[in-house]
Amino acid sequence: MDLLILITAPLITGTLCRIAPRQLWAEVINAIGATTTLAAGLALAWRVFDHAQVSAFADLLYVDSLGALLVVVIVVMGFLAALYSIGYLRHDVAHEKIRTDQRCQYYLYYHTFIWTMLLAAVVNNLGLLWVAIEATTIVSALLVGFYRSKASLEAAWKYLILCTVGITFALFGVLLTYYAAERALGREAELNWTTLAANASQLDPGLMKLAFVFVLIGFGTKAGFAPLHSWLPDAHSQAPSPVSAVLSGVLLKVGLYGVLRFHLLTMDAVGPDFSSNMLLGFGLISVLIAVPFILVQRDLKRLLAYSSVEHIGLIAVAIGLGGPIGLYAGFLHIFNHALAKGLLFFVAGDLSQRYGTTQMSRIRSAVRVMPFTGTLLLLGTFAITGVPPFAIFVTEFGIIGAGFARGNIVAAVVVVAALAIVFAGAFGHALNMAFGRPRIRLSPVLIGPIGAIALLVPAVLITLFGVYVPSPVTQAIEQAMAMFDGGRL
Amino acid sequence: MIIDVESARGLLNVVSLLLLLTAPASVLLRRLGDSIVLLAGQGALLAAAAAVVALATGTSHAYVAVAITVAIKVLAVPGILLLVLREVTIKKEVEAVISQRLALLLAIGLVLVAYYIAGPLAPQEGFVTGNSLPAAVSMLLIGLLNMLTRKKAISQVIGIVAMENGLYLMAVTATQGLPLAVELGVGIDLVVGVMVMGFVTREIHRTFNTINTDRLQTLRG
Repeated sequence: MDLLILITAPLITGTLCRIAPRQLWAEVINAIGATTTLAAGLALAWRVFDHAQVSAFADLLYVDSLGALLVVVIVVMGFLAALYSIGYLRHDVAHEKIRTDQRCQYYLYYHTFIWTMLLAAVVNNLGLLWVAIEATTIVSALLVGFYRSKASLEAAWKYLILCTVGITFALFGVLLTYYAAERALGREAELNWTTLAANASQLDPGLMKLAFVFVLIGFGTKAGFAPLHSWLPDAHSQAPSPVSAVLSGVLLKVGLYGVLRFHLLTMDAVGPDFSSNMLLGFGLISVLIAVPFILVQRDLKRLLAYSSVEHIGLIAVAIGLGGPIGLYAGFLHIFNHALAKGLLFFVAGDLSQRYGTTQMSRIRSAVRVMPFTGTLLLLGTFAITGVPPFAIFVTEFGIIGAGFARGNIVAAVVVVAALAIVFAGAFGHALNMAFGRPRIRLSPVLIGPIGAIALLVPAVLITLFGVYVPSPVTQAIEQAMAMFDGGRL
Repeated sequence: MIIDVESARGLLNVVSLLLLLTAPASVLLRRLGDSIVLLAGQGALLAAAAAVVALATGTSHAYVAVAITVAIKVLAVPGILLLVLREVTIKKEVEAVISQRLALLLAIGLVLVAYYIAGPLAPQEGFVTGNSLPAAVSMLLIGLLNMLTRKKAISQVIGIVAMENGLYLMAVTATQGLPLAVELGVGIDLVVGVMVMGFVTREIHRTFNTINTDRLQTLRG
């Protein structure tokens, strides 16, 4: 039941928002729909963590703990961004950045986008996983180009073309996997995860290596791995800020999820080292390439986008290193980054609407002009750069620890150095924006109550997770970890 | 089973060679309308390949796949592209970064590369013939070449569809197509994807007054 609600609620919500006769109705439907999706997603995840797996509709849908973790990230951030969208779009309409009727269109695209990501998390068939991930690109491109400005159209076009070409390579990887499965298991294999995972050790190692390389390039483009990330800063900075939060906090992880499914198969078919090392390599390259761009960045949203490249790299490093510490840190970091980056994009949205720019040099004295948002800008920056006691400190510490524990000193040193440099760079920017001397004086304002909730919830969670991770979360992550080390943990 | 596997292999070999021919031909076509018609021709050949497999295996799944292929690759996708083309005015037809002669030379080179890497890739059994995988890889590589060397937004979409056509040929011959649900899903993605790309192309044309993508270079760093 929860699963059925989960995969229908976003579509119904989107459609109702589109045909709502009054703007207020669309906003109310948006909030109710997002809440329903959240409740269904959490209920489903709870059931999965209780029973280890849930399947439905003749095994068409299948959710295990890895899928459930992704569902939680999608519904939580999807809910918060849906709430944040309400105030954000009201501002855009009031300042004539968009027409009133475009707001209904936005809610349709937004909920359809959430729906495509949820599909990716719950389908059993790896071919349909590809279909769902390609669908996320198609729908979210409409949101990236939502403002129809020159810059946003350029970003939407590059995003569509680069990600579609990338993912065509992933389809080749899926085909190779199907070919390997057909040869080993016969025509009944059907690309179902449940069948493939149970028989992965029989798949031809040579074919699976080739398949993993193509899947890593294809889904890796969506995940934002450098050097395949060139579309990312454009798309994440030009989209409306609530969408940027979902693109950075959630969608990158959907791409990563696609890679991880094939990583699991490849580990069984080839042995653990091949795909782990490739993940580790792409992760380190992403961290290294992101750092200089973070340092020289002048645009707040592009800064946050490059920071996402860095963090998706950190997650890949953690999972590539593996072992109990690495996997635990990697999975928890998926949550932590989603919350912290979501919060920061909401903050960036508030600031850009108040100051009328995303240029950091023109955002000054934010703590005085926007006391609530400005304070959370500082808190978010503390959180994302891994200052204790925030949650990211714990997971980044874990990732470095995993480097040493697995005897990979190079990885550990690269991560430590990158984190230290990013910390210094990001902090300079944040302090200037929060306290710097303003060129023009703006009167202080307070944001609306709904927007405040959307900012406060991730801020509270990211602080809480630093000192105390609730035991259901720990158990959920441990279940997902068990899939990766084949119960050898 | 209406035809036996041996004659099916023969027919598939012919279709593969014809598809192989469309790939270098695509670099010679300079008018967008012609390129779209060639794309529909590729779709028809792919439908023929799927039909041969359907006749040889006799499964209902295979017949449905033929219908999906005709609907999507012969009718829907080229149709949408022609509609988009009608809405945007194109001032100069010539648009490639490199000359026609060089493009043809590169295309032939890519065909050789395709034979070199894909020839030994799979054992020639079932429906896989000596030319089917190289033809598929050629379509993939030359589609990419067209994307990289042409500036107009519509040309890039055509390149993407051509790449996917190559993968489709691979799927039909190596694994007798994908599972039906997947095939349908990939098809829907393709149609909706081309629609959205067409929509963005139209918006780009409206805003920039051109569909040359080299004008899309303001976002940097």
